[in-house]
Amino acid sequence: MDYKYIEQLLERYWEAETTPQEENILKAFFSQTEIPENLRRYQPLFEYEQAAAEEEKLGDDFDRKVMAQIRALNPQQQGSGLRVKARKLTIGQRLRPFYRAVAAVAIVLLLGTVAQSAFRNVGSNEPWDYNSEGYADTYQKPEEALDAGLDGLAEIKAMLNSEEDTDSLKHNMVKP
Amino acid sequence: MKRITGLMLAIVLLLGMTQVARAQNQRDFASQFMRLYAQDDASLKCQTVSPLMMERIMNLEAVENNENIKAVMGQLKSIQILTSVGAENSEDNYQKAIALAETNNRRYQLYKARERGAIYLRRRKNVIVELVFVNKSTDTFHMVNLTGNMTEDFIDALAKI
Repeated sequence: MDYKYIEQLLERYWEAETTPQEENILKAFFSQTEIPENLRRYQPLFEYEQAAAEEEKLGDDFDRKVMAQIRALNPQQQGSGLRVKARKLTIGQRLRPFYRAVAAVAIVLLLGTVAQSAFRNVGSNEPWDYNSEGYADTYQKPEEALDAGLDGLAEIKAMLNSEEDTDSLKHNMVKP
Repeated sequence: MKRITGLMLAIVLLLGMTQVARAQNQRDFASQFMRLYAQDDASLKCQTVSPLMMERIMNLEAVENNENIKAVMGQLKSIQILTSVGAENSEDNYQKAIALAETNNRRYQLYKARERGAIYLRRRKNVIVELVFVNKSTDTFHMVNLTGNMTEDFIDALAKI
């Protein structure tokens, strides 16, 4: 028997050119029990398609049934469909996502600054508590700096060696 | 509850950062004086010897060979010398310096005073960390600000250099 027509339909089927009627012809053909050997390998495909067609599909009234159940749970939404209440967002609520980011940045900065300060002072137990980087040298040569320093110290020395004390500021004096 | 916790955390963070920033920005007396009054007097000049330069000074032969200078300089971290000229400027700067020290009398305690000068000390952990000397003559004003870790013997050593 010549199954030329079936083979032609199959060619059109692979090219997605078959009409629904031609596909029904193929399905009917492959639902037979006797199928030629060379065409038997296509039978599972058309059997699957037939089985899928026979599966339960959602009916047209599915949406209506589901909406009825939702309305039963929310009596306020009876009538003409669902009502969604508009929610006004305050500025605080709008900025809320940024709060965590700002907090994270602040924590990192604080920890970094504390660590920097701690490492700078590691091993140092001295009471001197000024920032070394806050001083800008006037002199480039240490000899010049030494001369200026000694001049300043000489003035202090002159006062220390002075016997004179004035009463005007004496009430606040602290002796060593 | 969540909001209160967040607010408290924010306050603690802010306080912490403020404290750290304050510690980083502490100024000695001369630096503070310059910050407040330098713009009022164009003749007010500041000479600075930084901690780094102090270290270089300690390596000079002149210092290494003089025990008294070595003993004094070895306790210093910085030296700042402020000067201004002019009778009016000198008086004005002197009064401002005394007022600044008196305002901060919990920080700077008067050690010695005379007619035209005073020495203030700042102590921390039983160590003299700052010595401020102010002096006024007829037409000049001098301030010498020493910072470092100075012992009580420093004053005696200073008198010997």
